Amino acid sequence: MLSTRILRRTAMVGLTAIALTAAGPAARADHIKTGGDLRVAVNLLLAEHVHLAAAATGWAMMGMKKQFEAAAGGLDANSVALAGAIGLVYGDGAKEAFLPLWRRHIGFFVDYTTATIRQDAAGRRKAVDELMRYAEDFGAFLNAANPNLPVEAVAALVREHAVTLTAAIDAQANQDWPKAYELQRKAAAHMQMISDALAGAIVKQFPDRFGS
Amino acid sequence: MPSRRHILRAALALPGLWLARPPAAAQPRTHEVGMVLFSYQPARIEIAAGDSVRWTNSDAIPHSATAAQSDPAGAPLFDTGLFGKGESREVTFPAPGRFAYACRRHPAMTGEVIVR
Repeated sequence: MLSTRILRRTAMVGLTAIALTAAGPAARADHIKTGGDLRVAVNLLLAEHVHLAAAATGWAMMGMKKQFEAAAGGLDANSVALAGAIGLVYGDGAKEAFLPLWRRHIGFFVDYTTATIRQDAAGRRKAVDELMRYAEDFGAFLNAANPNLPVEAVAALVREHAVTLTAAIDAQANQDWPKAYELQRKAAAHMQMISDALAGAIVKQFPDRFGS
Repeated sequence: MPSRRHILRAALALPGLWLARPPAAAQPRTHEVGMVLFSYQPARIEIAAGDSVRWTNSDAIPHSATAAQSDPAGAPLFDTGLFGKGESREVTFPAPGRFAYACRRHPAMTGEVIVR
């Protein structure tokens, strides 16, 4: 079993993140010219977030340290790319504020995974409580960036993200792999609801920039 | 009874005294810091001893300005407590120093007050 310290440190820092960021898909200003481009970019990044998170938690469940570290590095690279996308629209200040906020929720999923491995019911509950509370934070962040995104609507979507991904983690813990992948796909599909809402709100906010 | 010469000398000296008097101490000022999109704006502010900083929250989630340093009892040197959108809190800094602070709920949200 991997120690909590290794799990948290690796997932949060992502030692290979820099290299992966350079190589992996990222939202680039010259690729995003229309609302459609924006929707595709955000959809890609958020679906990738779920698949990489599930890969990391799956490897962690099996105690496969090297594989886990690689997946966690990819996950952090995805976080950096998402922050870059936020920065493209809202500037460097928003990018810098977004990244630690986004990484925080990944930390709570790590806590949930660790507690599950340890069969620590209280730890699992605490992690879920943190994720539910985080949903409000994330809703408030997006609402501050874009008033077209109501806090509670975003928070509800993030809570659903927590529910769908923790369900996939539970299936991994039970070694029920068909169910784990089914739930992983469901969790990834749910992210499209968030990305569609986000992209639509950004187009509404900046019709001259993304409206065509 | 003062002589006329003494009165005159005193009268002539008064404006000089007034001019020589050190300038009145600057009035304490209140400096504004916004809490916008999970960041303090400006994140770093320089003020004079005796001045105050007023934080105003524009985000739809409670934030605080809580000192990183603690007093001997372990309490933060200052703490506005969490407060919501549209609300403000003010702290006066009587002595020079550098005061790093963060939001209690969002530790990545950091700022610094430098008191000269």
